[in-house]
Amino acid sequence: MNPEAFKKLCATYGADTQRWPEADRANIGELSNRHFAEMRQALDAETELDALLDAHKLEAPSAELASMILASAPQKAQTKEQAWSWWWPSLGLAGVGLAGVGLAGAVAGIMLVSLLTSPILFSGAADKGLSTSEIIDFGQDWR
Amino acid sequence: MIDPDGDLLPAIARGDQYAIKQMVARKLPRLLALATRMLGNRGEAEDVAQETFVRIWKHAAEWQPGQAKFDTWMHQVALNLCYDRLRARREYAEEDDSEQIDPALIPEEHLSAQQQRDKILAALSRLPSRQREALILQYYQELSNIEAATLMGISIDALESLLSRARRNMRTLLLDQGVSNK
Repeated sequence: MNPEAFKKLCATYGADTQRWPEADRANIGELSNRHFAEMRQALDAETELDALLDAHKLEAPSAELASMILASAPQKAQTKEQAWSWWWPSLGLAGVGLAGVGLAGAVAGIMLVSLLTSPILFSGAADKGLSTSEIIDFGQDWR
Repeated sequence: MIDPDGDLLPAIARGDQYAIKQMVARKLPRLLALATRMLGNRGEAEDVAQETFVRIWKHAAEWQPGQAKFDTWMHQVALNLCYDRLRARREYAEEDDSEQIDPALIPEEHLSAQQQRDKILAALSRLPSRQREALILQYYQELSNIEAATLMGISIDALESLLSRARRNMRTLLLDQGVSNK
């Protein structure tokens, strides 16, 4: 690599050499021993534009948008346990009427149904006033 | 080729809610950023993000590991949706031979952070479409030059030419017009 090629790379990819093609990054070390001042000048020329481009931050996706996207996702295939939950309440109630097992048995049946059919996910989360971060963690590495 | 998103797709196809949530957490900010900068309009960008996810859900079951990187495929889907909208506005040209653009931003000495962001988005919107696309893919989306060139269907040399013109024009539109980061 010569100083002209270095300047061209700066003008193309900016001052952060981590954004440069890997093969070009590998050649910088050798050049810097002989042309440090020229290289510094070329990098400085692009630094301010990079800082401006970096200043363009965007707002995080809204909770409403995340909820709509989650609601459009495939739903979990019904498991055997969930399929059984359809007739568990009838069984529980029938137990009360027919065998006189007592109220405790019916309550236990209903509690079991409740456990098996608890809601899976986030649809309607926006309606409950949840923030985006309560629905999903977007982390810090976006902009 | 190891695809960091590859493990999520079969789980998404099965309706695994954890995998679905992971995919939204990983990709929604990235997709929204791409579309916002391409279109210069947040509402339209949200529509593009939603539509892209509909396609992700639809194709999760058919995904063939090893054929393409998922993130690259997703960018292609989102870019195509952006192109459709830009074409409808007559703001997209496949060939981009414009060299210089006319700076028409009004210089302001003291800008708030929001005003500065608006100016940068306005400057991006004024770039010729192919220059804007190259800069967004390489700089903001942090794709490699090979990935960006592949998505745009051009050579590395052509991508580098677009990038250097895009940066030159952004300099004209921002720095030379008094928009600075100081």
